[in-house]
Amino acid sequence: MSSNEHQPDVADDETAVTEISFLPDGRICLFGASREIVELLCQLNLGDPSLLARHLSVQSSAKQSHYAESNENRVTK
Amino acid sequence: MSLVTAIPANLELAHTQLLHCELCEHRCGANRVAGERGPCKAGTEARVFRHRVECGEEAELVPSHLFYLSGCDLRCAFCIAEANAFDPSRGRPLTRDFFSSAVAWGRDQGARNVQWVGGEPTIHIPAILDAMQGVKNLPPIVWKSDFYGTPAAFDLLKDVVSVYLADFKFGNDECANRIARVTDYVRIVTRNLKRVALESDLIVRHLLLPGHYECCYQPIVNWLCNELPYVKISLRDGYMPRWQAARLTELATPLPRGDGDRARHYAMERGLNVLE
Repeated sequence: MSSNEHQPDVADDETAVTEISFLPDGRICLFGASREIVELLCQLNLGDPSLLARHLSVQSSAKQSHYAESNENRVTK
Repeated sequence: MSLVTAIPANLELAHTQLLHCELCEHRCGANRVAGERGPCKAGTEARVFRHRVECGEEAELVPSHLFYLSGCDLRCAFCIAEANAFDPSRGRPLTRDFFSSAVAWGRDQGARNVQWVGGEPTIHIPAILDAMQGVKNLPPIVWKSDFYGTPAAFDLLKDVVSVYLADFKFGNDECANRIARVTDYVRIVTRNLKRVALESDLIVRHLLLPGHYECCYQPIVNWLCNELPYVKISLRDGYMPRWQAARLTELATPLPRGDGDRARHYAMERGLNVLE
């Protein structure tokens, strides 16, 4: 996460951090899903309807920060 | 009553709780201003150990700006927040300036609401109301809680909270006492659920625990069928053994594969509104 003048002087802003656990049986557990991770996982087409529901909700919200515009965080198929 | 008027109206009453605290059903009566501490060990100051714009919450809530407060009235052995949840001295102080600035930043990130989580935010109601009072254009408030609060605590949140996200953790008192070290759990939580369902938007969340399908999950579903059949249910099947879960044999491993689907089908077959 790059610093910007709008970033408040806060501790532990973990918006950009997602914890992903891969279980031995192939399940994937998420803790703390960022916008970009939700988008990435949807693009992987894992067949989880709950992910799609969250992705649609996130996409519908207006995002005014530089994250929305940066192509560096996009995953191409 | 609007949010703008509800917060200051409740704030003075909230501060009296700090002199004789009965915000949660431990009802310890601690004078937190004088330095006395109850089971939660919280003082007068609330501390934020983490905040983030979260996109993994229930779909209707995301993106949600979560503020995690340290300190809790329960002692769940499997708590994913671990030490941060139980030590109210962790994190930075929740001040009006910090909160106001953080909310503005979160709004820029697309957050559509502010969500108070813990630990347990109920024990910090006075500090939370105080912090929110300083914010112009406060987004809708989501309150994620263990629902072990007193009626007085919920009175202070009336007209302030837009959506309650209630953790209905255990289906019987024995498991609640053994795992989270609280008593009279089912009566208290169900009382609060019934009240809040009448007053506000409510989502009941349940984290499926390995080995607790018959003793906890099924009684919860049956109670919801009988008492709150139209409430939204959020089933969480990503249990991972954290914190002190290893001290309890059945909680020392992840939820078995298939248990999530089984639970979902059980609830849906009974007509409950299970969220994706």
